[in-house]
Amino acid sequence: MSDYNDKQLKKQLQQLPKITDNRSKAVVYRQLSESLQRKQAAGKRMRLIPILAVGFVLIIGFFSIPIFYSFDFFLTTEDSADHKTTEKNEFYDQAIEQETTYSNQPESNFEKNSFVIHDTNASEQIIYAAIADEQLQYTIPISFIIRKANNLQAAYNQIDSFIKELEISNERYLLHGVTYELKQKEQKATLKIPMDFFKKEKTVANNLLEQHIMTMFLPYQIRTINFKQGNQEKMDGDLYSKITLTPNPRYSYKLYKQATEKWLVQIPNNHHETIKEAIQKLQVSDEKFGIKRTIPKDSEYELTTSQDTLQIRFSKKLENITKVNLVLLIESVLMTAKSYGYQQVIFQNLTTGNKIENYNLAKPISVPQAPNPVYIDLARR
Amino acid sequence: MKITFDQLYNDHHQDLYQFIFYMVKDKSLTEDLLQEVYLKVFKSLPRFRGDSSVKTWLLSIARHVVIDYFRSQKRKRKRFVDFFDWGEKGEKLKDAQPLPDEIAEQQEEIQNLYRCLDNCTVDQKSVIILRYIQSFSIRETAEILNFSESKVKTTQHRGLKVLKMAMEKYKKGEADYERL
Repeated sequence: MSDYNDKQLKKQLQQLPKITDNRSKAVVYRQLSESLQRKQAAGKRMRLIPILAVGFVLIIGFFSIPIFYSFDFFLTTEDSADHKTTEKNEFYDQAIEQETTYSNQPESNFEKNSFVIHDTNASEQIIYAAIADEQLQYTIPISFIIRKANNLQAAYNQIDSFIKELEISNERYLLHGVTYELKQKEQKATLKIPMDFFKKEKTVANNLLEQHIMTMFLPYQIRTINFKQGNQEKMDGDLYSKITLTPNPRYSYKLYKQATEKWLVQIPNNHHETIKEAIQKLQVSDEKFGIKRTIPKDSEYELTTSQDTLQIRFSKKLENITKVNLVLLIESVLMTAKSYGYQQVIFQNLTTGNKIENYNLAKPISVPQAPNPVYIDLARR
Repeated sequence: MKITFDQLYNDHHQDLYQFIFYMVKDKSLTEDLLQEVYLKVFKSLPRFRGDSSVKTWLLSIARHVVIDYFRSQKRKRKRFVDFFDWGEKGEKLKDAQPLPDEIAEQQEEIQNLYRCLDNCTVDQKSVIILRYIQSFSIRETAEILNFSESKVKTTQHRGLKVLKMAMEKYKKGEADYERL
């Protein structure tokens, strides 16, 4: 019989003391300002960000030498009350209101609404890249579909120009300016980093860097990443000289939606998290970061597995769901299953009818080749 | 409504500090990680749409920063372990931080409870800290951690179970800071 019951334990937890920061506000502010000044001195300029007119007005002024309270960051809203996330009735808050549009989008309607590519043609090749969301919290994998290159290394060294086509800020593309040397047979790559790439203090996106590198290189079985800065084989004041990528990372793939951007986003899972837990995560949105659920939050289903096949049987058919949202559901489950080593997924009792765009629900569906395809210089039939 | 550093500090600094501290149990590290949180907030503020309260948004960022720190420690530890041949020892590296004053002043049971928190997973610890030390509701906790409310309850239940077992073991003198 346990000496502790829940009630007693909870009471003791509540007795754990308040731990306070004994530094004064001025000291905290000074240390923060010094950190920002170092960034600025290293060549990163803070831009004056124009006032946004979408419900929020934001002004950041950053003057050359901030002194104590002259450094302000502002958030102004029309509503003076605290904002709270509201649970909405639509299951993913109109995640897909309109078709995704890119300047180099293929003509097929299905592919416009699709977030994955299943098979490349013999003349095509995928160059894997990654960007961060706007708040630098998550990894968005991007699969650039290019004409098949004789030289994979040369293709990877064009990623900067591919990323330009997405018209996103360099801040979100963490490997901007990096060049690559690939030795595929040895499963190695060397990343040549510009000299000011890593700052003395921790950057806010260091954590994402390894995630991005994994996304870029694991599909080509590259496991060891060396770093070079100038002639040095080690980074300047940072952790990395060499890293070994952990194979078979596990993810839940949800929708990232921000303004006109819509991507499948990778939410990392720990290795002890089961496929059941990974799929359950697809029912949870995180509005703070623009992350949308892809399975209705109230949906019930049963998962069964058999060797390389995952089967998901819904208790009740989904009604009043658009074709686009169905495709998103299917593809997010497919990609999540793929990261767990499954080769195909069977969807049962998902909706009325078996044909959803190019997906035939009467048969097992093979997992896709890659997420978030972006076609470069190709007219895809 | 304007939010300045002053307001963020006045309204949220100590909550953030306390949350991070109980997760990592090192004041100096807490200061470093909290600075990272502020830097992230500074970068993210233009994109914050107010879909959640400022408090839950800030704590979400703090949790991400802490998780990333643990991941980087795991990476470093693996490289360190790979380098040395532990041979028969094969021990994991254990934290050897002395108790902070605020904890050392408490009764022994509370000190033990503080130590036993390390037996919980990151998720369990997050839920326990938010629910019982910082007194957030299940709904608020779910919002911060981006869990469903049922996941908060399940994680809470498991975390309490782990703590109970650890406390009993500790009481019997079998203190073991390995995860149960």
